[in-house]
Amino acid sequence: MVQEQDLVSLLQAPSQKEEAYRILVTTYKERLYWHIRNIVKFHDDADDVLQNTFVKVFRNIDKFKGDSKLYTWLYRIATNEAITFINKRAKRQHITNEELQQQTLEKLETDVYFEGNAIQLKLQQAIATLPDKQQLVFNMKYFEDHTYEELSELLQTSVGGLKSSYHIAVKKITAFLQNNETIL
Amino acid sequence: MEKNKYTNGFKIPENYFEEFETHMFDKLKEEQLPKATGFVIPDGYFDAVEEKIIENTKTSPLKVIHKSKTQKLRPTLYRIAGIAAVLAVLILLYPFENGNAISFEKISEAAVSEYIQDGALDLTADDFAMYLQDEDFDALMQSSEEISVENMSDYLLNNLDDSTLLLE
Repeated sequence: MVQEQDLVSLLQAPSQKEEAYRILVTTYKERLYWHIRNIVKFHDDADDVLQNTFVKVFRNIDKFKGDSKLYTWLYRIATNEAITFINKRAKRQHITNEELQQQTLEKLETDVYFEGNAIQLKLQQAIATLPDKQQLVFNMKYFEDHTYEELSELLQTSVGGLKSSYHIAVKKITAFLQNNETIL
Repeated sequence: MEKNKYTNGFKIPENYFEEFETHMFDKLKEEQLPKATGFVIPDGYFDAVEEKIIENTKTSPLKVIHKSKTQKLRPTLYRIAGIAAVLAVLILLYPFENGNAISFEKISEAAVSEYIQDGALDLTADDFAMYLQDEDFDALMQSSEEISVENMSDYLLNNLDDSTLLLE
């Protein structure tokens, strides 16, 4: 396992860039993919955004000064790319982000790359009712297993703020599922 | 409870025990949620995507998302519109005389656009600025101040190709 600092040095050394790119992609592709997928929902969209994220990373690696951790930087680019992707799509269709999200969930049921059961589908619907930041916090804490300390660095929010955001999210989600008679 | 029980140096957050039940029941509710999203991926996706990404870095460091024709042409259209504006200013500043000399009106639009597309017109923003007076700059500054934050963010969202700039 290459240390982050060594990887940054390799990425910024012209002669070893290709090898370093491969290490970077191998190390982070899955984590970033699932992070993006939780935001954009469809596999094809996640695939596009993932590739764009790495293209951005490679294009800007020389500007990376090491003020934050490499992985924090990657997550921020991935998050930003995913959110920009959604905003652009909503704007192109002249609908709000909420309307787009609703449309996405309706299509999700028939998506070949969604094998969730009725409860999992309802959970996605419940997540969609949350404000954007709470969705991000919930997905990253619940499904992606980040610690509050990691989230604090990634989202530049205090641990206390994140904890309360997460608990509010869980409460809203369980209330939604109870109202829809999905769980007891 | 006797006070000396808490002399081991350990402390607890304020209202910890009062709030414990609430947190505990929240946790129980959370436990009932499904543990997985239900999202799946095509077989062998992660191996294939790695190759695609590495290939992208070798060929062209361009966006992967396929853009519409209009979007692809947008930078060129902006450039042409800019050059057309420069030409308009030049025409105003240097009125052509009538007569046998070649006048701008006699040149067909197609010829002008072919000329521009061939890259024969090499004008920079500085060249354009040379023909502007102080009051023109004032007018430009004034109009840029009238751009709303909303319009500016819309513009950046649609045209800024480097999302890393928004992060720092």
